[in-house]
Amino acid sequence: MASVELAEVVRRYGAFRAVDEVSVEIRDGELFTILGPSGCGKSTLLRIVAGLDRADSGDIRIGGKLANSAEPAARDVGMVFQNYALYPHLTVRENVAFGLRVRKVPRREADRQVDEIAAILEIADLLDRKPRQLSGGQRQRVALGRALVRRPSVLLMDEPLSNLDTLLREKMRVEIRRLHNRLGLTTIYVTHDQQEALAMSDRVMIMNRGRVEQVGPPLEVLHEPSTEFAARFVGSPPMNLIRMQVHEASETQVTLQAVDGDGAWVQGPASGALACGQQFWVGVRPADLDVSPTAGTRSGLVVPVVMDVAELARDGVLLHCSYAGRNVVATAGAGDPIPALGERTLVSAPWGSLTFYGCDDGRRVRATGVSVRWPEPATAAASTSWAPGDPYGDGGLGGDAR
Amino acid sequence: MTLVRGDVAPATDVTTPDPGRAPGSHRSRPGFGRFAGYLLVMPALGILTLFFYVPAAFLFVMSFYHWNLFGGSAFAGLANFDVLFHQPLYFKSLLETAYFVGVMVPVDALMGLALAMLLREGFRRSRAGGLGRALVFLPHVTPVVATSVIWAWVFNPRYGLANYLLHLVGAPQPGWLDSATWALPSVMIYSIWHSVGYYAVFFLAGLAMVPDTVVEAARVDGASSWQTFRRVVAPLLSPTTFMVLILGTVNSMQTFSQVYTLTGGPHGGAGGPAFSTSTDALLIYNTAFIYQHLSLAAAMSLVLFVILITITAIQKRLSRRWVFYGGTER
Ligand SMILES: Nc1ncnc2c1ncn2[C@@H]1O[C@H](COP(=O)(O)OP(=O)(O)OP(=O)(O)O)[C@@H](O)[C@H]1O
Ligand SMILES: [Mg+2]
Repeated sequence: MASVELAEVVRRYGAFRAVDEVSVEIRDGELFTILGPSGCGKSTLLRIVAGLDRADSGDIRIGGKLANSAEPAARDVGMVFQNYALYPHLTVRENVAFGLRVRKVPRREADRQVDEIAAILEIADLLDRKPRQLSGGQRQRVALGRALVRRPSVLLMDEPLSNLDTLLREKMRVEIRRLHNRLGLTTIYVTHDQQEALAMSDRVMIMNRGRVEQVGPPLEVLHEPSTEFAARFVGSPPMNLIRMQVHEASETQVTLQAVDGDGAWVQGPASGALACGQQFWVGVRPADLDVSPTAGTRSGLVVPVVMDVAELARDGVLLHCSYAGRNVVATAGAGDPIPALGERTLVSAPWGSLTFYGCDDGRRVRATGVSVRWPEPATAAASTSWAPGDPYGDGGLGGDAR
Repeated sequence: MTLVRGDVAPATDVTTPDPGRAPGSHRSRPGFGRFAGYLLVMPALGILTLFFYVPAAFLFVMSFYHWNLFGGSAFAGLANFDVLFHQPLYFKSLLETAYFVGVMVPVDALMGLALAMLLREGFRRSRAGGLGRALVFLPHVTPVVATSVIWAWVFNPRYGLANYLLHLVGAPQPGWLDSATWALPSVMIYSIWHSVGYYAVFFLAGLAMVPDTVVEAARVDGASSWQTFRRVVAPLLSPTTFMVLILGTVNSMQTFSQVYTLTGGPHGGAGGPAFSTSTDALLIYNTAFIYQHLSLAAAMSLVLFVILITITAIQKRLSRRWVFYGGTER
């Protein structure tokens, strides 16, 4: 077992940076997910860790040892590829045993180890088949077995479940987590599916355009996105973001108005001077939005909207409203009145539920004078985040909402 | 299986549309469909018949006759074969052909594979890949007769390029086409130059079918380059290798033009010094058109044909043991 440290890793294709100064430490024994949209550099980063690709600059340490130019074989990593990449001409047993056999492990010893891993993965009865005689889920297990049989110190998985159907995917992700609990391997898991990432990881890294946006335990990433991108990306539905600028600011009070569109405003206490005209992205979670024709608040956010579509979600109704041509999503709890299509109404949220992101760098604002909500770290962070049930309290993980 | 009404409708019934068949499929017009196939293969079949099947059948018949171009042919039974198998020159030519084929096939295959792998690795990230492929393939599209004249100069013992280069490095200079030992190897060198690009293209196509991720998986699994090649790439390439071996055997066993141009005619008439390049194809030509023994030549062709069929059948049978026909799932 080993930790994996990346320090300012850069991978360029021409002028384009597929991986842009990524620095992160993956701890010994943790299940670490890299989450991000398609093309953000997840696979590239994983291949750099595996040694299948070279970083143009930066350092990779595996188990404390510098591995920048080490061959994959020397890195002691196992990898599960997105399309499984099984050896089509070999039986399942030969596939799994391949890494042992090329290392000159005697056949009987190899067989014993294959049988052992096959029992764990429940593929013992498939050992004599060829890959093309297997279903997608079975291939996935075989690929996992092949990666695990050598007991590598780091396990890398590149979207291993993306070719499976939803049900099987949900089943397999629990199994992978169970396996991880059992074997305790340092695991780097790449996915573009946030549910998967949030459900199974110890920590999640959100990537965008080759850069790290946020690293943290699932609950933290879900509840406290630290950049504008993370706020837009995580949660289903994710946060609403409205661009606003400071309209009036005094020592104790600040008022912001929407940059485009009319009538949306934010008012709240401020501690320190803000310049008029300074712009922010104001983020508000759908669950924190209250829909009512009369806003009862004098502090917080108020947005006049037109009701559009009501969508049934697992734990409530999602109200899609429009404001200045944009979609604003609010969650209505059971029993809340639902406005009729085209009805004008107001959505509002208390000051304390708002998050501010700088318009220039997209970072969450904490020190510029706007006092921003920073909730207590959620109770169960990191430890049992994958536990069954809905650990996300606010229903941010609609089972079918994506 | 339950029978639907449409299933039992007679196939020849063209008047009522068949409900069992998807509308719009070409089968819904049996009148056209039935003949379209024949119609489409007709030109090819016609050409094959005219230029291949008819002459082949003719040759087959001829080999059992004393054939005379100017009339007076008579049935000869196995007499031609009897003469043939008592001809030391014929056996010598079979041995020379075996020597030629035995060198050409493995060298073509190995060098073709090596070239393909070099091209693939060397040009993996480069736009020059197409140019590289074209250059490698180029010799194969040059006319044999034209390029072997150039190579005849290369092999000239006194002012040829080969011996000039050998002279520069101080190596012994063989007599090439004038030497009974070196004449056939000279033809081989030319033939490899001419054909290796052809086989390299096959291997390039074969290598393109080997998924990159499977090779990467082997690297992560800890396989060395040789182990990756031996245990992953080679098995996945085996259908290509098999095809190259079959084609190589068939092509080199029938090699004629370069043998004729380099060592026939002006270079000693009958195929090299002391008949040293008198391969089967050349001997057939000489027998038919120089010695004017048409039926003897026909008999030799028939034997060559039987040898080819037999070798191919054996290769095909052996292939079951080493060729992987599974294909790759993406
Ligand atoms: N060989 C290459 N040449 C040029 N650009 C490349 C190359 N390989 C990858 N890229 C670019 O690098 C970026 C990152 O690619 P990468 O495969 O890491 O994305 P990803 O996050 O894994 O996406 P996905 O979720 O779709 O697999 C992409 O924008 C891609 O276009
Ligand atoms: Mg990818």
